[in-house]
Amino acid sequence: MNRRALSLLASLGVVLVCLPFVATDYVLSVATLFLFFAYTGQAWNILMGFAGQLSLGHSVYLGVGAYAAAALHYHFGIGPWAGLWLSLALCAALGAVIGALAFRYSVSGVHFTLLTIAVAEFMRIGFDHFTWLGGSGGLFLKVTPRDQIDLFNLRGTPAMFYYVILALAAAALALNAWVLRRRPGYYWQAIRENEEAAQALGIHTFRWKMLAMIISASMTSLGGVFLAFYYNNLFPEQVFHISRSIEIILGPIIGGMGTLFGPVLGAALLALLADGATEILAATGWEIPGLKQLIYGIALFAVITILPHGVWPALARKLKVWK
Amino acid sequence: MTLLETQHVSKSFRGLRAVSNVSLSVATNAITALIGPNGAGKTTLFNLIAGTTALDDGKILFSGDRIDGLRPDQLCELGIARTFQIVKPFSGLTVLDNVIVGALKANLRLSDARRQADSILEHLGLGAKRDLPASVLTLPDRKRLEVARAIATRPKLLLLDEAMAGLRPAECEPMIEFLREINRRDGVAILLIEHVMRAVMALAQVVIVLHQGEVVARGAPEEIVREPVVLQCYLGANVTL
Repeated sequence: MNRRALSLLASLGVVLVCLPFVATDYVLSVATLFLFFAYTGQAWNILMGFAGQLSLGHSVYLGVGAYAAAALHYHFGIGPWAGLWLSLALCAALGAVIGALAFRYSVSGVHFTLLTIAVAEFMRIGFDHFTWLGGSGGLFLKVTPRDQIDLFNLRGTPAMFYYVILALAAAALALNAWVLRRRPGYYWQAIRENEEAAQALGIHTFRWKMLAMIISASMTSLGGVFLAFYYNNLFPEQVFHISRSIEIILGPIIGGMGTLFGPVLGAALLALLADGATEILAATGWEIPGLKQLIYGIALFAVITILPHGVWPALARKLKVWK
Repeated sequence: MTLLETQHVSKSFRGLRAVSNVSLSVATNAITALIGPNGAGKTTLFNLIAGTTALDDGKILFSGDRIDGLRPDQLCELGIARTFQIVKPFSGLTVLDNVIVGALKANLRLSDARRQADSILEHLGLGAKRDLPASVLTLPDRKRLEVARAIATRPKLLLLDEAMAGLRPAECEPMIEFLREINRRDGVAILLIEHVMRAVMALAQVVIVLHQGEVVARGAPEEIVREPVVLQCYLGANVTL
């Protein structure tokens, strides 16, 4: 990263910090969603982009993280700042179990991916019948007036939620930037590129893949905590659904897997695209069901066809921000 | 002094005895070559030593300790590094980063690892290409990168699997020079499987000949090439050098 990149990053930071002062509620909600996917995309990117393990079941960490903190709040009145530790612990453990099963018994490639899907589906169906947490009828947190900020209980204005997720996304970016230029980053990438060669260079591949799994899972669980308190309701059919897992991975794929800014850029592009499609349709007055999804799909297809490595590597060359 | 020793090592694949009762040793500081015709069991023996194939029978000792059954990363930890016959570069990483991955084994700090990796690349003539992605390297450069990465782990024993194959004579020369230098200066013992006889003759102090999974001869290179049994099984009958 050079000076130019740092100044661009700093200006982006300033824009994002100032946004709530100028933006409408609608724009702010779009920006919040963008940052949410920028955050979860970065968490997923550690496992797939850096360590090369394709998980298509990251909704499981989102869901377990969300339900753990929400349950503590709902049943025992415990605030999210205390509750998130349970989310972190549960998802770290869950990631460790899935990782240990997969990596110990050499479940790799597509079979690893299937395992992650299976666990997420298992959880979705399990939570559907978990009546203590509302089952398929959903879990609803108490709705409080949205104009008072109670940061301790994570209740408050849209702007407060915006800043919380902005802080999470920024922290994830800092963590990824740091880890990528340290031993874990080198070792993960070596494993991604060629596991046999990595092992021959003294890398205990099992241990390092487990680390990626645990970090990625715990980070995603914090996204779940945010989700629970932002929306105030949780449904197993939504939070554990495979479409959630796919939403999480679209950003990094569009932006550029394994890159630092890819997940952030990808999430931004997707937010703009989804929103742009809505705006265009509203402006033209067309109300054809599914047209928005169609535009979305065509745009995704175009990006993947033209820039298979993602938008960020190409953009970085244009901006001359990378060596 | 013996650094690596195999004792009565055997390995069969579906009844085919690829390596049969092989006992050999590699001396500390020595360069030993393992030669033999195709199908002689060289690569199998190499993989047994490198920990990528489990042996059926026998023992492998390194500095007197049993090492058979250990994983490749544990072997690397003990001081055994290897290259791959079919090169396995980390294609998406730069040449320098490839070597840093190896150098991180012997260096706690990234800056030290980078310095060591840089100096190895300089020595191997890859210095100018350090910032290129490994995917764009030519085959000779990839072969060099294999050696650079392995050496970066600061091994006591370097296992080379056809490191010279595919190189032109002019490209072999610097590699031979480099290997000789790390052997002499750093005391790295080398066990090489090699088809390029020029390299074997130039480098090895001891040559071991495998044929049909068994050791049929061992000795200094200039003696080995005169052994009738070697000429017969390896070079074909009625061949003289």
